[in-house]
Amino acid sequence: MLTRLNQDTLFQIFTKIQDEKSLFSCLLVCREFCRCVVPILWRTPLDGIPSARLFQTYLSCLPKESLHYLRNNGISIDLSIPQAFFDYISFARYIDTLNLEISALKWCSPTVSDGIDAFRIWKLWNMHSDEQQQKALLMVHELYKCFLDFNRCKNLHSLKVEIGSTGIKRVQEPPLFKVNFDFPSVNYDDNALTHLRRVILRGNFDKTSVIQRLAMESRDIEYLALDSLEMDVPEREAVESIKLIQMQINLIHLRISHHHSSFTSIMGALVSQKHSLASLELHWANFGTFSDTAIEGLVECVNLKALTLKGCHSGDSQLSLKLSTAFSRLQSLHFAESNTNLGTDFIASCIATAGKNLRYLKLDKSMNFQGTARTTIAQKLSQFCPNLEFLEIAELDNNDVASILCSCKKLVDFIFTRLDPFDDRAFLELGPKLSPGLQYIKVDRVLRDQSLDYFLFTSFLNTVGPNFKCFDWVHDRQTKLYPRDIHLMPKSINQGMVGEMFEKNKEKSIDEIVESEFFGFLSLYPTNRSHGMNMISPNDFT
Amino acid sequence: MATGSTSTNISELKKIKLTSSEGTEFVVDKDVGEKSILLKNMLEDVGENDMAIPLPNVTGPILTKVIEYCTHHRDDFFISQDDDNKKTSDDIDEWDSEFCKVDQGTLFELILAANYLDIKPLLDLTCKTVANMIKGKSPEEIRKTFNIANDFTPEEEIQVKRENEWCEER
Repeated sequence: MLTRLNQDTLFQIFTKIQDEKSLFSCLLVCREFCRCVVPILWRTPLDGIPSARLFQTYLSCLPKESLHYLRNNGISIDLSIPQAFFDYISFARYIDTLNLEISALKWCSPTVSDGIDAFRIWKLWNMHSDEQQQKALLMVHELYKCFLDFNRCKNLHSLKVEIGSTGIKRVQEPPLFKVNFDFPSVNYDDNALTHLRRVILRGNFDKTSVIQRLAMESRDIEYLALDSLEMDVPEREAVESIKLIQMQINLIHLRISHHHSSFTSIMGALVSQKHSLASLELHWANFGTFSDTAIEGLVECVNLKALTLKGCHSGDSQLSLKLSTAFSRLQSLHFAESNTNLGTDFIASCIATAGKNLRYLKLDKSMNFQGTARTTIAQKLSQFCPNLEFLEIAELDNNDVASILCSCKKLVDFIFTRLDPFDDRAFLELGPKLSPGLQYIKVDRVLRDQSLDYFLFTSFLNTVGPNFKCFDWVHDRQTKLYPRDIHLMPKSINQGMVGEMFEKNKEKSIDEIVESEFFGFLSLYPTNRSHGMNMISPNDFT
Repeated sequence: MATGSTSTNISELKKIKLTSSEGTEFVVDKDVGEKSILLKNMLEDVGENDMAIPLPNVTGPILTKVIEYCTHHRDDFFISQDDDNKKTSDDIDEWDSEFCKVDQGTLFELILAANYLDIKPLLDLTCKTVANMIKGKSPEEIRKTFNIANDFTPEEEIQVKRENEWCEER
């Protein structure tokens, strides 16, 4: 009966199924299902665990002459294997070079265990002889020719060129980017890179030739990430990076990391994207080295709405103030880890400058503010940011929480770590003062020694607004006797299993209930999913 | 204030006529009908008109269900969800879930009607419902659930399985 539906609507149904195992079942149902599912399944297969089986299927899509060429170069390919049922390569939207290379190595040594953590990748390369690596790369290269054939692979729009995310200095570089295997030297179609919209270049290798080629051909890149793992990059690469940025018509998201000496000239190049750039990620930038041109470049980006800073250094305070004027239109601000050299003044200044525009603020846990610094941040939020919708912040005391909740009346998601001494009872009594749109609260590092009764929780849940969906009450990891997440949902408190559990145990404290009853419920209420809650993310603002 | 309020009331009272495939006429509020992008565009093209709009691809019972859905969601702001990442089948609210408790034939007719009338949220909802019926099932269970015949030859089935079995490693 389902086959009464046309291909278009069947396709709509299958795009709603996101787990690959269920899609695998679907494609074995009948030919029509198979025709609809295969293009979905093969859009981004390289965005997962590298697989020898996947690589085998890609190999079976190679033209006969490629297979003969590989066989003549000592690769044991069975030429009697039939041509693939579909041209799986043609459905690809995304290439991840590292994933493809590891898949090739796994194909060469099927006994290698699964997993893609950085150290294993490094070992995987180095456990193979030069000859084996060369063979793997010969195969990968034949595949690149197909992937980069515009007439064959029309939907390819994302490219991730990555080598070694280990941070470990390689004993031996994988030779893909050595002279004989230079990526742009693959004899591919001239149009191959013209339709790329998302490009990530990552690793400890000289990316100059790739960037140069992209700068010549690609004009439509919307998302560009230039990640080096060394502390600096060669000057030539920096120059080409600037050209690449300048050549784009509509660059929306840019991530730059580890370009120490060239950061300032790259920032200056942002003027060319002043109308389109909406999101900027800077990793390991030292603002102290920024020239006036660099700051002006940033200030001119009138549509910049989201900024992420990781491991940055704020430089002197006068410069910080100047720089923060570039952030007056920010709606999303994320201070990621290792920002210990970003002064409180700089952060407070960014928050105050963004002021009413700021809707998303995340200060990662590693940024523990002490004493007055913490209070300064909390005060700035209360004073300048009435439109904040998402807030994640480390260590707040009762006063900070109360002042934020009473000022930021549009909060939807609120995540914080309790700073002891913290009065949980006083916090729960804030219920009526919370934003009516609040959907999620997560309180981290709750201690076990406070006795909170069921009635206090139900009274809290009854006073929060109708949009409230989830309360994570996360115990101190030091004590970790309990599951990390406990979900108390207002809708189910009287009828659901959580509610029943509380009903049965009215006389017990929360801690006792958690200990005796909650452990088995973890899987019934998986974090953030049971009620289809979508947390606000920085992408919402770009 | 008064003028604005009056004009809103007038707009709310506007009706349109639709004719199902059997020729049955349905009169619905204009704002409800305009949840269908097809009807909205037609009304914009044709202008003020008392003529019934024929819907030869939609039967009366299905049109009744479609109108029920659009009436319930008449005040919703329909957000376009073109981003593939947002297309999950986990988030169906209670009313919508009850609405989809119909026999398979009706569900598929609703999908076709939503697609024809271009009502994206209804198409999403009905497709999600079918997706949920598929998830976690084996090929044989899916065939049984939807009464589908396996038309692969044994060789084809083996080849397709072999070429796609990397999915099982995920």
